[in-house]
Amino acid sequence: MTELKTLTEFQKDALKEVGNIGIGQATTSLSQMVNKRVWISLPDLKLIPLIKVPDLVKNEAPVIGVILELTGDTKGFLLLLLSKNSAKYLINLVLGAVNETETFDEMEQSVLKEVGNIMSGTYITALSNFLGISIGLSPPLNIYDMADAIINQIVCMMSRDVEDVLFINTEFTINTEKIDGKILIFTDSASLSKILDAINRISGN
Amino acid sequence: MDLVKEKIIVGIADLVVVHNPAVLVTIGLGSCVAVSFRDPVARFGGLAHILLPAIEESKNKDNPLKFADTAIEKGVEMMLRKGCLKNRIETKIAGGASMFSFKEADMQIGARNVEAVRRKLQELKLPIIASDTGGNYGRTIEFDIASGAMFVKSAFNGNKEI
Repeated sequence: MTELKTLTEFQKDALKEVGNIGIGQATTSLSQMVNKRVWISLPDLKLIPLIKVPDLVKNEAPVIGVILELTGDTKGFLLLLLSKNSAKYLINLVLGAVNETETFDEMEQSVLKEVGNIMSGTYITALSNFLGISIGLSPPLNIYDMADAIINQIVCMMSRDVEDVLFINTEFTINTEKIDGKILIFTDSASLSKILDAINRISGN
Repeated sequence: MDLVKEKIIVGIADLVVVHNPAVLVTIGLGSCVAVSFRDPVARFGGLAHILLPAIEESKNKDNPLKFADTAIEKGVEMMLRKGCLKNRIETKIAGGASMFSFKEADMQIGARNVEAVRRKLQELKLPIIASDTGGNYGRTIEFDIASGAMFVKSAFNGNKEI
Protein backbone atom coordinates (compact mmCIF):
# COMPACT_ATOMS: atom_id res chain seq x y z
CA MET A 1 0.00 0.00 0.00
CA THR A 2 1.36 3.43 -0.88
CA GLU A 3 1.79 5.89 1.93
CA LEU A 4 -0.33 9.00 1.72
CA LYS A 5 1.54 12.23 2.14
CA THR A 6 -1.15 14.76 1.40
CA LEU A 7 -4.91 14.84 1.20
CA THR A 8 -6.79 16.36 -1.71
CA GLU A 9 -9.59 18.81 -0.96
CA PHE A 10 -12.08 16.14 -1.99
CA GLN A 11 -10.57 13.61 0.39
CA LYS A 12 -10.57 16.16 3.21
CA ASP A 13 -14.22 17.02 2.61
CA ALA A 14 -15.16 13.35 2.42
CA LEU A 15 -13.37 12.60 5.71
CA LYS A 16 -15.07 15.56 7.38
CA GLU A 17 -18.48 14.45 6.14
CA VAL A 18 -17.93 10.92 7.35
CA GLY A 19 -16.60 12.25 10.65
CA ASN A 20 -19.72 14.36 11.09
CA ILE A 21 -21.93 11.29 10.96
CA GLY A 22 -20.01 9.86 13.90
CA ILE A 23 -19.97 13.14 15.74
CA GLY A 24 -23.72 13.50 15.47
CA GLN A 25 -24.13 10.12 17.16
CA ALA A 26 -21.54 10.85 19.83
CA THR A 27 -23.24 14.15 20.63
CA THR A 28 -26.58 12.42 21.07
CA SER A 29 -25.18 9.78 23.38
CA LEU A 30 -23.29 12.27 25.58
CA SER A 31 -26.40 14.44 25.65
CA GLN A 32 -28.46 11.49 26.93
CA MET A 33 -25.85 10.65 29.53
CA VAL A 34 -25.70 14.14 31.04
CA ASN A 35 -29.26 15.09 30.18
CA LYS A 36 -28.19 18.42 28.64
CA ARG A 37 -27.73 19.75 25.14
CA VAL A 38 -24.31 19.10 23.72
CA TRP A 39 -22.63 20.81 20.78
CA ILE A 40 -19.54 19.48 19.13
CA SER A 41 -17.45 21.60 16.78
CA LEU A 42 -16.73 20.55 13.23
CA PRO A 43 -13.46 18.70 13.37
CA ASP A 44 -10.17 20.20 12.41
CA LEU A 45 -8.49 17.58 10.29
CA LYS A 46 -4.87 17.37 9.20
CA LEU A 47 -2.41 14.86 7.86
CA ILE A 48 0.81 15.74 9.68
CA PRO A 49 4.14 14.21 10.69
CA LEU A 50 3.66 12.31 13.94
CA ILE A 51 6.43 14.19 15.73
CA LYS A 52 4.67 17.51 15.03
CA VAL A 53 1.57 16.50 17.01
CA PRO A 54 2.90 17.80 20.38
CA ASP A 55 3.29 21.29 18.83
CA LEU A 56 -0.45 21.40 18.19
CA VAL A 57 -1.43 20.57 21.73
CA LYS A 58 1.23 22.23 23.93
CA ASN A 59 -0.18 21.95 27.42
CA GLU A 60 1.96 21.24 30.43
CA ALA A 61 -0.95 21.48 32.87
CA PRO A 62 -2.30 18.22 34.23
CA VAL A 63 -5.38 17.04 32.37
CA ILE A 64 -7.61 14.01 32.37
CA GLY A 65 -6.85 11.77 29.43
CA VAL A 66 -9.13 8.90 28.43
CA ILE A 67 -7.32 6.74 25.91
CA LEU A 68 -8.68 4.00 23.67
CA GLU A 69 -6.75 1.95 21.18
CA LEU A 70 -8.19 1.49 17.68
CA THR A 71 -8.24 -2.13 16.55
CA GLY A 72 -9.43 -4.04 13.49
CA ASP A 73 -8.87 -2.49 10.05
CA THR A 74 -7.35 0.66 11.52
CA LYS A 75 -4.44 1.26 13.83
CA GLY A 76 -4.15 4.17 16.18
CA PHE A 77 -5.52 5.82 19.28
CA LEU A 78 -8.44 7.93 20.30
CA LEU A 79 -7.77 10.38 23.10
CA LEU A 80 -10.23 12.51 25.06
CA LEU A 81 -8.51 15.32 26.98
CA LEU A 82 -10.37 17.28 29.65
CA SER A 83 -9.17 20.01 31.99
CA LYS A 84 -9.66 19.28 35.70
CA ASN A 85 -12.53 21.75 35.98
CA SER A 86 -14.34 20.44 32.93
CA ALA A 87 -13.91 16.87 34.14
CA LYS A 88 -15.40 17.82 37.53
CA TYR A 89 -18.26 19.63 35.75
CA LEU A 90 -19.07 16.50 33.72
CA ILE A 91 -18.90 14.28 36.82
CA ASN A 92 -21.27 16.62 38.60
CA LEU A 93 -23.76 16.34 35.73
CA VAL A 94 -23.65 12.57 35.83
CA LEU A 95 -23.48 11.92 39.58
CA GLY A 96 -25.22 15.06 40.82
CA ALA A 97 -22.29 15.70 43.17
CA VAL A 98 -18.56 16.10 42.95
CA ASN A 99 -15.60 16.13 45.35
CA GLU A 100 -13.92 19.50 45.35
CA THR A 101 -10.51 17.88 45.56
CA GLU A 102 -7.45 18.04 43.36
CA THR A 103 -7.73 14.35 42.56
CA PHE A 104 -10.38 11.99 41.20
CA ASP A 105 -11.69 9.12 43.29
CA GLU A 106 -12.53 5.72 41.84
CA MET A 107 -16.18 6.58 41.21
CA GLU A 108 -15.24 9.80 39.43
CA GLN A 109 -12.63 8.04 37.33
CA SER A 110 -15.13 5.46 36.19
CA VAL A 111 -17.56 8.22 35.18
CA LEU A 112 -14.83 9.76 33.03
CA LYS A 113 -13.99 6.41 31.47
CA GLU A 114 -17.66 5.91 30.73
CA VAL A 115 -17.92 9.33 29.08
CA GLY A 116 -14.89 8.48 26.93
CA ASN A 117 -16.26 5.05 26.19
CA ILE A 118 -19.73 6.18 25.18
CA MET A 119 -18.58 9.08 23.04
CA SER A 120 -15.88 7.19 21.21
CA GLY A 121 -17.92 3.99 21.01
CA THR A 122 -20.82 5.70 19.24
CA TYR A 123 -18.46 7.72 17.08
CA ILE A 124 -16.45 4.75 15.91
CA THR A 125 -19.47 2.47 15.49
CA ALA A 126 -21.23 5.03 13.30
CA LEU A 127 -18.09 5.44 11.26
CA SER A 128 -17.42 1.75 10.76
CA ASN A 129 -21.07 0.98 9.93
CA PHE A 130 -21.19 3.73 7.38
CA LEU A 131 -17.89 2.82 5.76
CA GLY A 132 -18.42 -0.93 5.96
CA ILE A 133 -15.02 -1.52 7.52
CA SER A 134 -14.26 -2.98 10.89
CA ILE A 135 -12.94 -0.51 13.45
CA GLY A 136 -12.81 -1.74 17.01
CA LEU A 137 -11.95 -0.06 20.30
CA SER A 138 -10.11 -1.32 23.34
CA PRO A 139 -11.58 -0.66 26.79
CA PRO A 140 -10.71 2.86 27.98
CA LEU A 141 -7.76 3.72 30.19
CA ASN A 142 -7.63 6.92 32.09
CA ILE A 143 -4.80 8.98 33.38
CA TYR A 144 -4.35 12.34 35.12
CA ASP A 145 -1.04 13.91 34.09
CA MET A 146 0.59 16.53 31.84
CA ALA A 147 -1.20 16.62 28.45
CA ASP A 148 2.14 16.78 26.66
CA ALA A 149 3.43 13.68 28.38
CA ILE A 150 0.29 11.66 27.55
CA ILE A 151 0.68 12.61 23.88
CA ASN A 152 4.41 11.97 24.09
CA GLN A 153 3.78 8.35 25.02
CA ILE A 154 1.24 7.89 22.19
CA VAL A 155 3.81 9.33 19.76
CA CYS A 156 6.41 6.87 21.09
CA MET A 157 3.98 3.97 20.73
CA MET A 158 3.13 4.82 17.13
CA SER A 159 6.47 6.09 15.89
CA ARG A 160 8.16 2.80 15.12
CA ASP A 161 6.05 2.21 11.99
CA VAL A 162 4.37 5.53 11.43
CA GLU A 163 5.61 8.79 9.92
CA ASP A 164 2.40 10.73 9.27
CA VAL A 165 -0.88 10.63 11.12
CA LEU A 166 -4.38 11.80 10.49
CA PHE A 167 -4.95 14.20 13.36
CA ILE A 168 -8.58 15.03 14.07
CA ASN A 169 -9.31 17.61 16.72
CA THR A 170 -12.83 18.39 17.97
CA GLU A 171 -14.07 20.65 20.76
CA PHE A 172 -17.39 20.54 22.56
CA THR A 173 -19.86 22.55 24.60
CA ILE A 174 -22.50 21.38 27.09
CA ASN A 175 -25.44 23.71 27.61
CA THR A 176 -23.57 26.99 27.47
CA GLU A 177 -20.56 25.72 29.40
CA LYS A 178 -17.62 25.48 27.06
CA ILE A 179 -15.87 22.25 27.92
CA ASP A 180 -12.17 22.75 28.06
CA GLY A 181 -11.39 19.57 26.26
CA LYS A 182 -10.50 17.96 23.00
CA ILE A 183 -11.05 14.71 21.21
CA LEU A 184 -7.99 13.65 19.26
CA ILE A 185 -7.82 10.74 16.87
CA PHE A 186 -4.47 9.44 15.69
CA THR A 187 -4.42 6.98 12.86
CA ASP A 188 -1.61 5.95 10.55
CA SER A 189 -1.61 6.50 6.80
CA ALA A 190 -2.21 2.81 5.96
CA SER A 191 -5.46 2.93 7.96
CA LEU A 192 -6.29 6.23 6.34
CA SER A 193 -5.91 4.65 2.89
CA LYS A 194 -8.41 1.95 3.92
CA ILE A 195 -10.86 4.62 5.06
CA LEU A 196 -10.44 6.56 1.79
CA ASP A 197 -10.88 3.37 -0.26
CA ALA A 198 -14.15 2.74 1.58
CA ILE A 199 -15.28 6.31 0.87
CA ASN A 200 -14.49 5.80 -2.83
CA ARG A 201 -16.49 2.57 -2.88
CA ILE A 202 -19.52 4.26 -1.33
CA SER A 203 -19.37 7.32 -3.54
CA GLY A 204 -19.00 5.08 -6.59
CA ASN A 205 -15.63 6.47 -7.68
CA MET B 1 22.15 43.06 30.62
CA ASP B 2 19.33 40.79 31.51
CA LEU B 3 20.43 38.07 33.87
CA VAL B 4 17.56 35.77 32.95
CA LYS B 5 19.07 32.91 31.02
CA GLU B 6 17.76 32.16 27.60
CA LYS B 7 15.42 29.16 27.56
CA ILE B 8 15.57 27.00 24.47
CA ILE B 9 12.85 24.44 23.84
CA VAL B 10 14.04 21.07 22.63
CA GLY B 11 11.22 19.33 20.78
CA ILE B 12 10.61 15.66 20.17
CA ALA B 13 13.37 14.06 18.02
CA ASP B 14 15.42 17.21 18.44
CA LEU B 15 18.97 17.94 19.58
CA VAL B 16 20.40 21.29 20.69
CA VAL B 17 24.03 22.01 21.59
CA VAL B 18 24.86 25.53 22.82
CA HIS B 19 27.38 27.55 24.78
CA ASN B 20 26.85 28.98 28.26
CA PRO B 21 24.60 30.49 29.50
CA ALA B 22 21.40 28.84 28.42
CA VAL B 23 18.72 26.57 29.80
CA LEU B 24 17.53 23.74 27.56
CA VAL B 25 13.93 22.74 28.17
CA THR B 26 11.91 19.74 27.09
CA ILE B 27 8.23 19.70 28.02
CA GLY B 28 6.11 16.68 28.85
CA LEU B 29 8.36 13.67 28.46
CA GLY B 30 6.36 10.47 28.60
CA SER B 31 8.14 7.37 27.34
CA CYS B 32 10.74 9.48 25.56
CA VAL B 33 14.14 10.04 27.15
CA ALA B 34 16.09 13.29 27.48
CA VAL B 35 19.88 12.96 27.46
CA SER B 36 22.04 15.90 28.50
CA PHE B 37 25.70 16.42 27.57
CA ARG B 38 28.05 18.88 29.25
CA ASP B 39 31.70 19.78 29.08
CA PRO B 40 32.25 21.99 32.15
CA VAL B 41 35.58 23.33 30.86
CA ALA B 42 34.58 24.20 27.31
CA ARG B 43 31.26 25.43 28.78
CA PHE B 44 29.15 23.77 26.13
CA GLY B 45 26.12 21.66 26.81
CA GLY B 46 23.41 19.87 24.89
CA LEU B 47 20.11 18.07 25.21
CA ALA B 48 18.66 15.34 23.01
CA HIS B 49 15.02 14.18 23.11
CA ILE B 50 14.86 10.62 21.76
CA LEU B 51 11.75 8.51 21.20
CA LEU B 52 12.90 5.08 20.05
CA PRO B 53 15.73 2.74 21.03
CA ALA B 54 17.51 1.90 17.79
CA ILE B 55 17.56 3.02 14.19
CA GLU B 56 17.74 -0.49 12.72
CA GLU B 57 14.42 -1.44 14.36
CA SER B 58 12.57 1.27 12.46
CA LYS B 59 11.11 1.25 8.96
CA ASN B 60 11.85 4.88 8.41
CA LYS B 61 15.43 5.99 9.04
CA ASP B 62 15.19 9.57 7.75
CA ASN B 63 15.65 11.26 11.09
CA PRO B 64 18.60 9.95 13.17
CA LEU B 65 17.59 12.21 16.06
CA LYS B 66 14.60 9.99 16.81
CA PHE B 67 16.74 7.10 17.99
CA ALA B 68 18.85 6.64 21.13
CA ASP B 69 21.89 5.24 19.34
CA THR B 70 22.12 7.71 16.44
CA ALA B 71 21.00 10.79 18.42
CA ILE B 72 23.67 10.23 21.08
CA GLU B 73 26.34 9.80 18.40
CA LYS B 74 25.20 13.06 16.79
CA GLY B 75 25.17 14.86 20.15
CA VAL B 76 28.73 13.81 20.97
CA GLU B 77 29.87 14.66 17.45
CA MET B 78 28.42 18.17 17.78
CA MET B 79 30.05 18.66 21.19
CA LEU B 80 33.45 17.61 19.81
CA ARG B 81 33.07 19.89 16.83
CA LYS B 82 32.56 22.82 19.24
CA GLY B 83 35.89 22.02 20.86
CA CYS B 84 34.72 19.85 23.76
CA LEU B 85 36.90 16.95 24.84
CA LYS B 86 35.31 13.53 24.96
CA ASN B 87 36.82 12.58 28.31
CA ARG B 88 35.30 15.69 29.91
CA ILE B 89 31.72 15.10 28.70
CA GLU B 90 29.26 14.23 31.46
CA THR B 91 25.71 13.07 30.83
CA LYS B 92 22.41 12.95 32.70
CA ILE B 93 19.24 11.16 31.66
CA ALA B 94 15.54 11.53 32.50
CA GLY B 95 12.20 10.22 31.28
CA GLY B 96 11.34 6.77 29.99
CA ALA B 97 8.07 6.41 31.90
CA SER B 98 5.28 4.01 31.11
CA MET B 99 2.17 6.07 31.82
CA PHE B 100 -0.42 3.63 30.48
CA SER B 101 -0.41 0.29 28.73
CA PHE B 102 -2.87 -1.65 26.61
CA LYS B 103 -0.66 -4.68 26.33
CA GLU B 104 2.45 -6.18 27.87
CA ALA B 105 4.77 -4.59 25.28
CA ASP B 106 3.54 -1.07 26.12
CA MET B 107 4.86 -1.47 29.67
CA GLN B 108 8.37 -1.81 28.30
CA ILE B 109 8.34 1.13 25.94
CA GLY B 110 9.99 3.63 28.29
CA ALA B 111 12.27 1.04 29.89
CA ARG B 112 13.58 -0.03 26.48
CA ASN B 113 14.43 3.56 25.62
CA VAL B 114 16.32 4.01 28.90
CA GLU B 115 18.17 0.75 28.39
CA ALA B 116 19.20 1.74 24.85
CA VAL B 117 20.44 5.13 26.05
CA ARG B 118 22.47 3.56 28.86
CA ARG B 119 23.96 1.00 26.49
CA LYS B 120 25.02 3.62 23.95
CA LEU B 121 26.53 5.90 26.59
CA GLN B 122 28.45 2.99 28.07
CA GLU B 123 29.69 1.99 24.62
CA LEU B 124 31.01 5.55 24.13
CA LYS B 125 32.43 5.51 27.70
CA LEU B 126 30.49 8.61 28.69
CA PRO B 127 29.64 8.70 32.42
CA ILE B 128 26.00 9.12 33.50
CA ILE B 129 26.36 11.28 36.60
CA ALA B 130 22.64 11.45 37.45
CA SER B 131 19.36 10.00 36.28
CA ASP B 132 15.64 10.06 36.98
CA THR B 133 13.89 7.46 34.85
CA GLY B 134 10.95 5.06 34.80
CA GLY B 135 7.76 5.36 36.82
CA ASN B 136 4.28 6.01 35.45
CA TYR B 137 4.25 9.80 35.19
CA GLY B 138 5.32 12.55 32.80
CA ARG B 139 8.26 14.88 33.36
CA THR B 140 9.35 18.33 32.20
CA ILE B 141 13.12 18.84 32.11
CA GLU B 142 15.18 22.02 32.43
CA PHE B 143 18.91 21.63 31.95
CA ASP B 144 21.06 24.57 33.05
CA ILE B 145 24.28 24.50 31.10
CA ALA B 146 26.08 26.93 33.40
CA SER B 147 25.71 24.76 36.51
CA GLY B 148 24.95 21.40 34.95
CA ALA B 149 21.84 21.11 37.13
CA MET B 150 18.90 19.25 35.68
CA PHE B 151 15.50 20.16 37.12
CA VAL B 152 12.82 17.50 36.78
CA LYS B 153 9.21 18.65 37.24
CA SER B 154 6.13 16.47 37.38
CA ALA B 155 2.39 17.04 37.85
CA PHE B 156 1.91 15.03 41.04
CA ASN B 157 5.24 13.40 41.88
CA GLY B 158 7.14 16.46 43.02
CA ASN B 159 10.01 18.42 41.54
CA LYS B 160 13.65 17.61 41.99
CA GLU B 161 17.13 18.57 40.96
CA ILE B 162 19.47 15.85 39.77
